Amino acid sequence: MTVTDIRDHARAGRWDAVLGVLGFIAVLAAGYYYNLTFVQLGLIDLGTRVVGLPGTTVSLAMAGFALAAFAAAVVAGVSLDRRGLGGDLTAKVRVLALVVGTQWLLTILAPFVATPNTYVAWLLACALAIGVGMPVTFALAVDLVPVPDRGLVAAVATAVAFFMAAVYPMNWRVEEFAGVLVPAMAPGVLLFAVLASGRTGVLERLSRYGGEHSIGRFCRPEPVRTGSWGFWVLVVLMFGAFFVDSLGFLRIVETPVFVLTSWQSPDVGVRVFIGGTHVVAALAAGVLYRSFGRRALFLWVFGMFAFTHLLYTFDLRTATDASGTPPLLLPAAYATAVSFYTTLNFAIWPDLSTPRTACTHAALGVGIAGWLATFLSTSLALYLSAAEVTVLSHLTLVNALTLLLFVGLGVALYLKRVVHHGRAAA
Amino acid sequence: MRPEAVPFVIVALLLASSGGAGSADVVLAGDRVVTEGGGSAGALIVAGGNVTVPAGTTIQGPVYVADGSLSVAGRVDGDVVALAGGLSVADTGAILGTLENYGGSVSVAPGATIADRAETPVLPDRPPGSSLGFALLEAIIAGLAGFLVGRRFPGLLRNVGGAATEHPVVSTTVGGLVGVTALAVGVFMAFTLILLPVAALAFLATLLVAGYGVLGLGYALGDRMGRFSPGRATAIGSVAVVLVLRVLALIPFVGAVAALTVVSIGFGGALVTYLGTTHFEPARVPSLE
Repeated sequence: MTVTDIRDHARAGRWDAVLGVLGFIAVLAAGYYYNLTFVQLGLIDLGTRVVGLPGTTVSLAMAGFALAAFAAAVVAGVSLDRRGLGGDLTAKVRVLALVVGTQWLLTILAPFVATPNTYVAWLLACALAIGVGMPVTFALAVDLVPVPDRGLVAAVATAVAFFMAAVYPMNWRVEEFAGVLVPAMAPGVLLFAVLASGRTGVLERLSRYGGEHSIGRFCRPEPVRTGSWGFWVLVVLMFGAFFVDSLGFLRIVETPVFVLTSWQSPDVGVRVFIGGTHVVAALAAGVLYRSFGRRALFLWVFGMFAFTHLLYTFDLRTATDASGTPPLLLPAAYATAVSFYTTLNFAIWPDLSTPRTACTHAALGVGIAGWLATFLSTSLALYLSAAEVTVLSHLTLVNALTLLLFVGLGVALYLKRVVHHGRAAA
Repeated sequence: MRPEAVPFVIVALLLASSGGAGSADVVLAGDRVVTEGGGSAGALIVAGGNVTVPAGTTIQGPVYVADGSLSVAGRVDGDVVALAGGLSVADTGAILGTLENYGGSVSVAPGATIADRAETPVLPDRPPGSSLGFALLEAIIAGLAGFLVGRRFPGLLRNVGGAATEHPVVSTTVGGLVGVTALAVGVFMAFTLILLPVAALAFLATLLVAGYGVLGLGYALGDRMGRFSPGRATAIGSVAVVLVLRVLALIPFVGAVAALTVVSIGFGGALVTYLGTTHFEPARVPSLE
């Protein structure tokens, strides 16, 4: 018997199921766009320019933000699953409505934050909201997204979020972000409020498909347990991907010559190019996710990161004139690596889950791999900066880490095969 | 740097390496003004962007132009080799070695000083009809290769062609990603000069696998065209694929993209089947029943 996918729903005229998939893409893409722009860059601008804090203090505050978000995600995810709400679409939408409403209010208030104390309080409230919202958003996949389509759905969400983030808005200032996001979020807040009220019957209709979509690809036939090796190895691998990305990105965006060919480039053409690369790479990752196993995908991710940082360090070593603009190959490789692992990150946690573990696995996976890795890499980047480590040495360190992960994973996979064949022969 | 400049860059690196240069300073993009003593002690390779040697400045050669442009208003103490791209020498410019032009666009001002000059056009003007002859030669070579491989290893080509035709999206994705990455990795390996032979081998291997992928496509096409033996089917199909690629190449941009996609499908088909040694079956979501 074949597994139902989105084409089956469309052929059978089950348009509510198709709309559910599109709704999931919209929520995931919008949430990630908010995280990429407003949270990761807008809040740094808010702290340094508006509140007037030193860059080091803001970086420390952002590290604390990541840690608080991680804690909130784990508490929320585990609590929801223990109460049996991980597979309850209505309950999840109600929690999400609360989160989206809170985020909207916080976004309205952001430009008015003026003192260090209010800045820290604002960050804490935002971390709690994002921490609760993240596992709930990911867990919606077990209700809404057919299992065979999760790679493609993750790819489309990644492509939309990164393209939007690369191309719009023009200025990386918190007022600009708030000006864009407050009106953009308003219809979403209203829609979530209507859905959460339970008067439309939409959620009841969508819940009918939960049974077909609920068991993730890697939970067939046996569910992946939270304490299993299979789960934690993937958490560690994803942690590695987030860590090397964050550690490298933090330094690249501080290096003036690289800014010319990055997201912050004043040249719209460069930003469109980077956005386009994100789109192509995300779709490629979606195809690979659907067609190959997890190991091949992680090898691709680490291989791409290793190659990307090799390019950056090579450019730093060979550039003899500071006026030379780095080739676009550098941000293109970076965008490819980032789109690859983001697509993988969006798809893999629901595919490692059942309705009983959806929130917990998303919280642990994204919490540890995403937020904790960001916290640790920010701390390490600050330490390296305080120790006056040069850009070349910093990126060489990142390059060494990625090469280690790439080679280590390859060797580990090979040794696993050796053990397997050895046991078979015995 | 443009992808089509890659062969010229590799040739420049080979020339620099054989000329005894221990290192190479490679300019890939952007505007660069070379200052006296500002470059590396080895060769300078212009692989993209605009490089200027300003008046009153002396740099050491050799300098290779593989893409982009080089403007000499100062002095180059050594040879300047134009493989492709643009080279202009101003009135105040001086080249104290030999200016060798293979395929570049060279302009020398009347007052410029050139110690020695050599013109060796690699691609002389071809008579009309020679392109057609070259395309036919390519098709004949593809047909012969297809016949030999198809007759000897029909199972391998069946797997490659099967992956390419049954799973074109996966094949294109894998072929495109590996092709682009391999090209970039090869170029950067070549830049180290030490790994230049490895890069050249990798470049050759990539071309061979891409050609093998075309034969796989040829097998799949020939098999659909009629009841032929595997050797004949591959030969006929490969000739057709090569001719189609040639025709596509005549259409600006869209044709080139289409031709690259066709090659990527074959290349990816060869890769996902481990050169045809196994049948490719994408991962499937197991049913719960």
